[in-house]
Amino acid sequence: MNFFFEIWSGYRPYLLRVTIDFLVSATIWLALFLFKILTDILPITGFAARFIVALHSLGTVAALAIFLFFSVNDIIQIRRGD
Amino acid sequence: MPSKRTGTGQDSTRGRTVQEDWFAWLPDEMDPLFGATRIELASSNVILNVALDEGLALCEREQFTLAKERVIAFAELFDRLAIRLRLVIRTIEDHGSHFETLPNVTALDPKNFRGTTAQRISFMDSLFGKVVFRGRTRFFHKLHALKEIIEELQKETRIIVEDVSDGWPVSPYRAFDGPSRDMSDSHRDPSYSRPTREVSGSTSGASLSGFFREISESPRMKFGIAWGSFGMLAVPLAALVAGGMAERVALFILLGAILPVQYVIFVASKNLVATSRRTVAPDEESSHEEAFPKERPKFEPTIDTRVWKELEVLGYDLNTCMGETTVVLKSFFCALPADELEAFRQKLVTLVPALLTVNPRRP
Repeated sequence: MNFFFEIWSGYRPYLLRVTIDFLVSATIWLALFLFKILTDILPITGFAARFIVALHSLGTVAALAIFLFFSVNDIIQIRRGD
Repeated sequence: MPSKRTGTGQDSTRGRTVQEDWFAWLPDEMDPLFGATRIELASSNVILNVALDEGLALCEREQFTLAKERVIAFAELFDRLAIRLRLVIRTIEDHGSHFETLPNVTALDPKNFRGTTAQRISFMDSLFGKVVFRGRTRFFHKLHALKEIIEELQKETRIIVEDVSDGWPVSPYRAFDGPSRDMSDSHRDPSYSRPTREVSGSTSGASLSGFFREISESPRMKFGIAWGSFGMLAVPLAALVAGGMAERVALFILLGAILPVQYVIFVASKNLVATSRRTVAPDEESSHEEAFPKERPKFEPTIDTRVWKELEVLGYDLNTCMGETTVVLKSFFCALPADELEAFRQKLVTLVPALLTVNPRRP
């Protein structure tokens, strides 16, 4: 129990911040997912359709990049604080 | 301090309260180490208080340039005490986790703190103390809470110093919301109740290191920057891709530009806050001037006084942390078996070298 408590207390700040980063990025993924449901219901063609497809692919990559950047930055900042 | 008991250890301290631990006499071999640690912390605290008094006195004498310079000295002394406290807490934590020494412990009391951050953390600790009955878990949680408070206090002091040295005494993003109880706005001198027109260096806090630090500390800012960069980059690039641009090129642009764009959003948001303060301030100032036409000085000195009042609150909270740490240390010594003393002493003097002069065998 003590072993697990030590691990928890050591990784708690990292875990908290990375979870926040994930949730922030997840809001973008969630919005894209909701948008996808909407586009499944409504038939869209032409420029708008291409735009939506591109937005989905770029948005997913952007959310991932944001998550990675925030996480790495958080780890660096926590270590600096130590 | 002479010893009342011939030995200490967990069995003898069980059933006692923290208050009884505090008044209990330590054995001769433990007493000098406790005394030296206590004196070491207390002397750092006294020096800090002297610097604080000096800063406040300089403000009262309207020597604001000198007072501003003393802020940096105060921050260094603040760090000195904070580092010592964290080292002592870490030593107790390390020893407690390896040797399973368990002292009596009471949860932190939010009433003993004046800053909102410290009150919030101590409130969580007191709540945790009510929910969790296992002494060991409560003990480590309290140590963790103390460390967290000290770290937050250090951060807040650092931000104040950075703001002061940048020429803008109060950062709009600072977590510190002022004292919530003993020094509410109603008790403050109205002339320093709000930062007003000294916002010429509005982007001064928007350095690259400030950007990395602030987005790491503020979830709200993370959220804003994430969505801002999504809107500013992904949406236009998606439109370009729909218009015929190669997706791979758009992807490289996105990955390459995401960091600069985030920085631009950060600077823009800082400017926006500064501008809104600038527009709000004149009304507030005129209302203050109406209410206190003669008491209000004509330029920024009041802001320096306000900074020192905030530092006073941070110093107060650090002082409380010192008191709590000392109490925990005393209880820890009470629970420490004699055969573990040497190991504990070695850890303590390694981390706090000023205690090297302590002779554990002193009669």
